Amino acid sequence: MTAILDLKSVSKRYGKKLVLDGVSVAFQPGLTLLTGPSGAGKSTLLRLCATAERPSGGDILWAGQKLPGARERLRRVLGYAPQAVDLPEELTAREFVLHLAALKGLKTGEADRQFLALAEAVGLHADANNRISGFSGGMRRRLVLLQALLGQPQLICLDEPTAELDTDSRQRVAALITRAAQSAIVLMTTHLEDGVATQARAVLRVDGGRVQPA
Amino acid sequence: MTALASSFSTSMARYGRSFGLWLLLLIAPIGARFLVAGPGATSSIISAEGRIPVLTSAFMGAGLGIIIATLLLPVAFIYLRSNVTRRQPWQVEEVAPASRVAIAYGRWAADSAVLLAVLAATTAAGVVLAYLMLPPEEVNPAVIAFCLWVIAGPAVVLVASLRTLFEARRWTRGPLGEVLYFVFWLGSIVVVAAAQDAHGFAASMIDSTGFMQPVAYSLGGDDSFVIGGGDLVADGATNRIHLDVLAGILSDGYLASRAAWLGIAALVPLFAGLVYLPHRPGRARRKPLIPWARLLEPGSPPRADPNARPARLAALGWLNLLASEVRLLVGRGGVLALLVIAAAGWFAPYSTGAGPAAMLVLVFAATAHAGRSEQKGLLALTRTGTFTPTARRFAFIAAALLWTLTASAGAVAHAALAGGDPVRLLLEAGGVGLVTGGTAIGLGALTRSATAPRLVLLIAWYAYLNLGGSLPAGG
Ligand SMILES: Nc1ncnc2c1ncn2[C@@H]1O[C@H](COP(=O)(O)OP(=O)(O)OP(=O)(O)O)[C@@H](O)[C@H]1O
Ligand SMILES: [Mg+2]
Repeated sequence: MTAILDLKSVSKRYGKKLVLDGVSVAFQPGLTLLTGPSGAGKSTLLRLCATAERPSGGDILWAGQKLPGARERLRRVLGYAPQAVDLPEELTAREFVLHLAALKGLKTGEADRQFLALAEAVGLHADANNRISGFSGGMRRRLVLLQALLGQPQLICLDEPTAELDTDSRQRVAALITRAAQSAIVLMTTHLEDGVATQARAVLRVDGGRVQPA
Repeated sequence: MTALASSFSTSMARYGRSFGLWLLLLIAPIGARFLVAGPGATSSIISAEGRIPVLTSAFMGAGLGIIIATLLLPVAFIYLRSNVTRRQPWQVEEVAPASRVAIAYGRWAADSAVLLAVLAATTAAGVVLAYLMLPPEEVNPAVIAFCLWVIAGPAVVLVASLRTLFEARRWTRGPLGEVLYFVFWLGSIVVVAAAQDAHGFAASMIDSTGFMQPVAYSLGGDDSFVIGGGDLVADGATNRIHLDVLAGILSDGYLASRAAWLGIAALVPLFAGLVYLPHRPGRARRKPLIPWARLLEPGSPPRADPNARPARLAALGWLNLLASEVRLLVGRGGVLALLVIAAAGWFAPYSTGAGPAAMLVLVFAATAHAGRSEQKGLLALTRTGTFTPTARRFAFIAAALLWTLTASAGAVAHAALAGGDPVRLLLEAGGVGLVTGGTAIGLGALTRSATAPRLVLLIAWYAYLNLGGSLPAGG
């Protein structure tokens, strides 16, 4: 059974700017879409859920335990695809993903097997052993998505995974995300009315520091 | 694979695939040729009592080791900070369950391995040079390697350690890291020079670079030696001095102190991993460390206004380019700093006051601006503009020139009215502006980062500050 991610009056401020203002929401297994205008705080919310930042107020609970304490436990079952990553240009896609797999504590053989399957699914298999420096914007996006799905995580936070993708890739990615959402909590921000939207169990709107059903 | 092993091997792969590493490995042996004072040499980087030391196998190794451990350490630091591994995928690494200590040790080991490879290349060059310069029976490769590695080994590993440490905290990831390293480097040499006569373990522990004991030991007492080209006495090149560096290296406490420094260096990544602070995510600009540090940073470029009228000077494209470079360089707070410095020139001697002050502010503004404008993506963007990147670089240098000329206004005015030499002041200010601007944009373009120009220019600034006192006062 997958645990639940519970936010209790979570707020986040940068300097004087209050980006999230007392957000309370519980994320269940399945796909949850986060929409809202640019700058509303979607990425900020994902960063908090993905332990990349700490809230300024309120609590985040993973499987009933408060976050800074339960952070290591959550990180072991976490997949996170940020909006932008400083990719190591000199490494190949495979080396990069295997490195992150090592940081997640996966065995190399198992990680490599998963990498090949995921590369096939996102359409990167032909470029698996090419250096990232030659990758296009869409390929980079898919690579970042790929590493987030490694190791069957239970919480998957995806920040605009379908941006910059063509229709074909978008469909592949949507299918992959839908499949992952069968056994995990998937939080995904998006601007577009994706094909994925129909598969979502919830669509939330982030605006004015609040999170509401769309 | 473990987090440590993976951090090590990915770093090594990235180093190996970058062209900078091979350049570094090539520079070391070529440099060695010019650093060693062979039999016919008339000058030497290391001299004692105004004489060039006799070349022996031991001195070949120790000499190269000392030069690396003193003069060339900033190069090693620059290389580590500005090479391919300066960009890390921290956005995903920082949410991984791996221990930061393991990652720090993996990267530190790779950094150390790269610098030790440079030592190996230099050692090989030293052996070859020894065979060329010494009678074959006097060449002892083991002694050359031993002397070189004992001195320079712990010193370069410590550079890797400091790099790792500076990577761990937010402030030191930026310009402050270079400033701190510069202070540490200068401090380590100055402190040692002050403690020349002492021997033994404790005295050697003051000397993280390890250059003092091997030279000072056989000189004994208060004899002076100079690293970095001191003046020779009349027959200093022909009637050479014999330095028994091996005796110094084997003297009481020295080897133990080198081992201790290596141990300290090896503990730093542990500390760095423990105090690691995640990067600040999001797109906000870094807050300056101290409020007035804002003056040292160029402000953000003016907000684009889609409704703005076309610039009146649009026809004078070049002038526009220059104006925008000046604006980017000076930034918001820069104007105030510039005015203060220009005004101060009226009151204080230029070469020790306003001149170095103007250069220091310019160093930070110019390297930050150069580092940003030489990013790959941005270059691709500017290439589509009216001006080529080269034209923009020239405008950048012109803007730096304008900066120092403006900063010298007070001093020049004072000199002109008080019967000084305003032309010499203008030349000095202009020269500093051209060198600073040219170095910032040149090294910035070569390394695509602000680290290399910043550290090189800080050293140049220090030299200028010291030189300034010996120049005839113009103000
Ligand atoms: N590190 C930071 N420091 C200061 N302000 C920040 C920081 N990160 C984000 N912000 C601000 O917080 C607000 C929310 O940003 P966020 O990136 O979460 O928006 P978003 O909804 O993801 O927008 P987009 O759809 O454009 O990605 C913005 O106004 C942004 O300027
Ligand atoms: Mg966003």
